Amino acid sequence: MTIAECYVKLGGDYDKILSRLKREAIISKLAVKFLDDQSFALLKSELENNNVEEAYRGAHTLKGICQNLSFNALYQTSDKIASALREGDIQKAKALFPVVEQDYNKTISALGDFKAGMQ
Amino acid sequence: MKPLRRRLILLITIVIVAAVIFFVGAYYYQYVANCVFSDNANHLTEVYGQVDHYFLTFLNQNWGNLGDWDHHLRIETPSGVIYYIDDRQQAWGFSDFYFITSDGDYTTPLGLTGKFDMGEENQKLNAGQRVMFNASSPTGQAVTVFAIPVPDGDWDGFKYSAIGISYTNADMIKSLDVNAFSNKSACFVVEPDGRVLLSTQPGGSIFENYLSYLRGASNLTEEQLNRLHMNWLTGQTGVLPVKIGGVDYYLYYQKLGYQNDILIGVVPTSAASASLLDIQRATINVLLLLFLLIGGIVVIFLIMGYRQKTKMGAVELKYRELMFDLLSMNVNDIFLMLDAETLKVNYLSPNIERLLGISESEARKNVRLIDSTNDEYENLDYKKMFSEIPMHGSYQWEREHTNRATGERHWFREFVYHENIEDTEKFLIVLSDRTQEKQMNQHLQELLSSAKSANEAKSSFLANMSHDIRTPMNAIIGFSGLIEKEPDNPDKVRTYIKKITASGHHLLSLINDVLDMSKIESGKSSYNIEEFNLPEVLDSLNTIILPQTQAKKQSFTLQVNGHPTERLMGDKLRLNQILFNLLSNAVKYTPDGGKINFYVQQLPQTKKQLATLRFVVEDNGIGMSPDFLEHIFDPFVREEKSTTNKIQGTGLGMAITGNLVELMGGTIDVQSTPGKGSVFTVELSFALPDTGEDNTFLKEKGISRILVADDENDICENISNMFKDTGVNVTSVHSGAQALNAIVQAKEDKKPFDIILLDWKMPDTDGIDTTKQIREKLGLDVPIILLTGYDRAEIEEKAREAGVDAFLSKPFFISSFRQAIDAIFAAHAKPSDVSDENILAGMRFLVAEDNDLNAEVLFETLEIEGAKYERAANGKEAVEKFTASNPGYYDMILMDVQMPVMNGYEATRAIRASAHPDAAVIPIIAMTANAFSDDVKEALNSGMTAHLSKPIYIDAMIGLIDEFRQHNDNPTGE
Repeated sequence: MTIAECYVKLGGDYDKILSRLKREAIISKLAVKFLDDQSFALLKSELENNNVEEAYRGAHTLKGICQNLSFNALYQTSDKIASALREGDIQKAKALFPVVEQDYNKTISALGDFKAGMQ
Repeated sequence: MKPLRRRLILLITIVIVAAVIFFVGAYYYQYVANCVFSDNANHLTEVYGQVDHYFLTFLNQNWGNLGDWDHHLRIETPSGVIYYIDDRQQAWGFSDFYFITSDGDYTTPLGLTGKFDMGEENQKLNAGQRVMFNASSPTGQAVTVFAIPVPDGDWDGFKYSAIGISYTNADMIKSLDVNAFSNKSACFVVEPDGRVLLSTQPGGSIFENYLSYLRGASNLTEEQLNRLHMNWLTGQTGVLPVKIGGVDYYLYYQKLGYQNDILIGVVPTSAASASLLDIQRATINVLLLLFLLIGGIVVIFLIMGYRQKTKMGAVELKYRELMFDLLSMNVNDIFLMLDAETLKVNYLSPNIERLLGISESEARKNVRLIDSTNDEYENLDYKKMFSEIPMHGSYQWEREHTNRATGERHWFREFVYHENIEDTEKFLIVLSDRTQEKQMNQHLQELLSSAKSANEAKSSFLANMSHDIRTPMNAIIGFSGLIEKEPDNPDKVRTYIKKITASGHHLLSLINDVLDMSKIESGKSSYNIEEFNLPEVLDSLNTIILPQTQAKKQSFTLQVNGHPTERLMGDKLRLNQILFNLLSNAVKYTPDGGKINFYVQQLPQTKKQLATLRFVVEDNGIGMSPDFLEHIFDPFVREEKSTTNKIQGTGLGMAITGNLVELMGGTIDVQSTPGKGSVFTVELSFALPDTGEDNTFLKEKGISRILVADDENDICENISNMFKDTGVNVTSVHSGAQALNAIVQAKEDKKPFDIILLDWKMPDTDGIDTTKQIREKLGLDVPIILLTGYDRAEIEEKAREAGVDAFLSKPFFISSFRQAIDAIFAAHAKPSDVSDENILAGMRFLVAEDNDLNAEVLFETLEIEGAKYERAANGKEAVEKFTASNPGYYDMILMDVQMPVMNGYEATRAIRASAHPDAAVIPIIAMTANAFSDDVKEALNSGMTAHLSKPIYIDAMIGLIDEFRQHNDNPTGE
């Protein structure tokens, strides 16, 4: 699997990231690092703890990274949960979370497959 | 109607279904019964066939045995006979052995004697036939006797001619094995006439004749009995259902293989068809259950369907209600339902509060409140009034209501419907707000009347005009007639022709004015804004007016107060016309030797780009009456006075002047005293042309050499003049070919042109073709501007395809040129800026970003551009790094906003407040994922220089950096 295919799989915009980072190798390197990023874990655990502020920080960072890496699908959903948390609406955020998690898992699985193919 | 019909259909359906079920059931029952019967018949046939077989075997065996034994009996001793018989008895199970005489007397070996009443059998026996008959044993038991004739013998002194053995009926039954049917059956052997020969009933037959017995005890009819008898006589086999003593039996009969005797088996139906009946019952039960189940399901479905229907109906009803509520809330119609009897409110739409300012509950309590908002409120007897409306009829009128809350007045058209709703009389009232229509009507009315008055004005204008036109025409025709009379008098002819010419000129000027007037009035008057020189205008006026005043020996002074702006933007010709009209009027209406003053003054500037000038024309002429002043700007008005009669004019001059001033957005004011003179004051505003910035503008854009190609030399010169003081070198050529040569030459001289202006219409090669050649042959992308007339729309697309960047209409001003250049540079800016130079290369960024991944993405981006970077993981680290750095070390800080420990805003404030030499000037760019304007504002408030939203695009960053560089005249720490 190429990184471009991986982007298709995780619902990202490869053309956009390519226009910014220019080289496939760099994109691959950075995208794979998303596997280790902890912002989703932060969002998840703090949402469970009903800690709006920290959950927001997690969601916000997640959203930022997705934007940065042009992971459009996950960006869309994390943006929604971030704005819900920004407004302090934890109930809404919790309702949105399953979709975010689903998109996150989709992203992670695509990246995981890609990484496995790299080695 | 409908439900009744439906019910009828339902009833009929049910009856039909029930009938079908009944008949099917009956048929089925009959069918099963038939099956059972025929099956049982077969069964019985089989069973009794077996019995018949056993019986015959048994019979023959016994008869055979008797034949065998006869020999022994004759040779044995009496005691041997007793043993022998006893032995046989053990083996065969018969009850007694008999020696029988031809009369039927018998004796047993043990000496028991008696007499058999054999009847016919006796004769048969005597005739040598083997017989079988019912009898009583010596011990009085009912037995069946089998006997055979033997040669006459003597047993211990008893003379016999036959021997026999007897079996008790119980033994017979055992031997015949008619135990089928759970021993519930009975078996008979009868003569064809019904006489019972043998009965398996214990204790012997309780009746002599079975047929007679059936006649008495069974339900068989005489006919059936006769048929049965006949069947027996003819030896047929058959089964007949029969009821004896309330119990159902099958009566089976067949010819027994012995003489003509008939074997009869009587089996209770229940025993015969026990299993079959069970099946039948089970089937019926199952079917019944199935029917019930299906019926139940059908009923449930019907109920559910009905419920669904009612539910849907209810939902629809609810929606309809909601819809109506919503509509009635939002439309400007009030709906009201009143009970006809009590005038109580049944329904009232909630919009009443909005439309009439009465709360819904108030209105419900007292419906007359609605009425009271009407201006001409009278306490009318509505009940009576409304009741007079015929049923299903309606009544309407229009009234004005005042909204109690707002005081607004609204026109309502009110409808009352008299209806019968669910057997109750109701009044349905709709108050429909028709204010807008009313207003529109009024407006139309006004328009109509104004159109009428405009029409009247037109008519009077035409009447006036025709009068004014007729006067010179009369002169022309009159003098023409005089010439005809005196063609030979050259002096007179000359005089007349002069007069005709004068009248003709007058007529011409009149017509010109009328045309001008109508142009202005119809808004078709063209108004050309261009740059003009005020002194030039004043000068030309002076040149025209001065001779006229001199002719009338009037004194004329033109006085310019202060220093009005010389170069203005406006319609020079129109300004000229206004001032000329005023001045020539002054000359006209001022007697000889009078005084005329013309003052020009610039009023204090109120708007930056606008200069307001006041022009005053003052005379000491005949002046005007106040009445006339009111109409001075109306067309065809001239004060009729003895003094003015001699003065010629169209009467349109002031009308035109007034209109022109209005058109130019100015004001005109007149003061006049009859006999003393008049003062006309005109104030007009003019835009100021762009000046002064041209040089820097051109420099900014890097324009120093321009090529102009136009076949008209004037144009080339004009353009050269335009750039005279700007330091721009303008090269002029007169054809496309020359232009190409000049471009090639300039390129060779390493002094290429920055802008090329090409005339569209040039002989040989036009501007578009020239452009094509510049682009294709020379391969240059220098900006090309095409000079055209105003009608360039049709060629624009073609020209752009050829490679033209912009268009200018001739003659053009430097301001238009600037705009065109701006547009070209804006279009070219992006690609050239980004691709040509990499301004990020070598710059050092301090990146404050808490997320590793985001930081890394940014670093990669910066790396591509050749920039250096250092990272701070949060705001605090960023502050520390910055304050510890040498001045000028960092070129820029990229600051994430959301960071732990210290966020971007706080960090920025801390940096700005620090003692570092670059603290105030280092650009800090906020990076946020939010594009909320609040965020941007807060970023700027905290001291950040600019804001970029994530993800960071290098182009956007370069744009920002470019901007800083341009706007920062004082160098920062670089």
